[in-house]
Amino acid sequence: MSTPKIGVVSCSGECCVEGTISRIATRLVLEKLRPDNTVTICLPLFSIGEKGERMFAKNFPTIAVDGCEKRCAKNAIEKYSGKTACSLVVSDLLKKWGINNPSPRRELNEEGIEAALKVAEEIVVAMDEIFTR
Amino acid sequence: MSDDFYQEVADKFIFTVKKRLLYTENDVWIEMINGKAKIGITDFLQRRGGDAVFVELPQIGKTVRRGDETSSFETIKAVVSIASPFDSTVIEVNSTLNDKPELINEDPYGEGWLVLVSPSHLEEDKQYLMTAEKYFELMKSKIKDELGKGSRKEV
Amino acid sequence: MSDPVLIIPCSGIGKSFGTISREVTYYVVEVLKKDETDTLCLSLLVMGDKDAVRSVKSHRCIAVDGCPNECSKKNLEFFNAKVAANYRVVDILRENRNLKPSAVTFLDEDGRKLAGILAEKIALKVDELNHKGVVS
Repeated sequence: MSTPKIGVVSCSGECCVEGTISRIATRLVLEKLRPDNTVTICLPLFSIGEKGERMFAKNFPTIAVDGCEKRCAKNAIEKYSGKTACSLVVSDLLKKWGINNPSPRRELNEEGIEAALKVAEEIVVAMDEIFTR
Repeated sequence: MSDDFYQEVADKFIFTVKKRLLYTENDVWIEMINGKAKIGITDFLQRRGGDAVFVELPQIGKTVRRGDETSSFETIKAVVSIASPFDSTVIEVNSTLNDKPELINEDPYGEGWLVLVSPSHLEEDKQYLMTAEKYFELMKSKIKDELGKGSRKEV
Repeated sequence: MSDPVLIIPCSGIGKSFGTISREVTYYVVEVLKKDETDTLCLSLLVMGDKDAVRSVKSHRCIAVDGCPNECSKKNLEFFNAKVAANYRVVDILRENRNLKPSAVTFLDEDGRKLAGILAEKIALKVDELNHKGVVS
């Protein structure tokens, strides 16, 4: 049986720290937490029509990890490939956890990295839930 | 699968093997043109290697032995050596790659060709080549091995 | 800030080039040309956000791409942005063969050095654009 896979799409938004956190959290899931089950979808490549990225997002479940409520990653996936299996918004998560202004956007400080780790764990929870559906 | 290519999908990567070319087990393709051989690398090798930043091409007139390095390309990760499929003499190189090494990645079977050589022992060396169909099967097993190693931290 | 130049990176998540493009942008926008430049989310533009589209059409833009896929430049052109210049991290790597940035998630020392080199180039370009004042 082949290993189950999920596509994780991060907005990587440059304007705010939440975009940086979404990016780092996605990378942490890929590199450390669920390396065998995670495929990252590169949003810029996806948006210019890269076949492999779009096809994967069509055929496999996806989790959108957006920095803010504009939900660019979620909207892009749904526009070009299909409904996402789960959508996470970092600003909502930070608010829920009582984390305000965690870090500069350019380089995450300790608090920012902790926030990214927490978001990564949320992604993993979402992945595990999708696998058991 | 298209008319011109065999395709294998692994995660989000679509690996292609161009039909009607010959191949080596070292991921090199060969197109025979009037007794000369045009050589390049396969889609699998360019993906595994990464974005080509520099390409080293041999001098025209250089003789190489089968298995020796005929050219190489440098990526951010490594230097990828390309083994010559023949005992041969280099008669032409794709000098466009000096300014546009990315052609190796963008069009490995077309504009990303590397060298044109004149084989000196073609009949003898042909036994080491394989058809596109056979290489496609070999490539699929290589892909399986790569995925098993978990080498996907960089895409 | 009057008429800032917009620096827009690809931020590709799969390669160190993308991380470097991001660092380049921050270095220019937050340090080197703090009062003359700004950035906006490429993802917003990709989704056709009205404000983002309006911004790139009305401001001079510099695309900072990681690799030859040129996602930032292509998206800017798609939306008829005023693309004043475009840079690729891979080209700067070719000019600095001794640097081997390998880390993707967090930049390593060579990645930072490369980002610094490209950021300085872009800063010079911003100077050029502001002195000339007209995008060709």
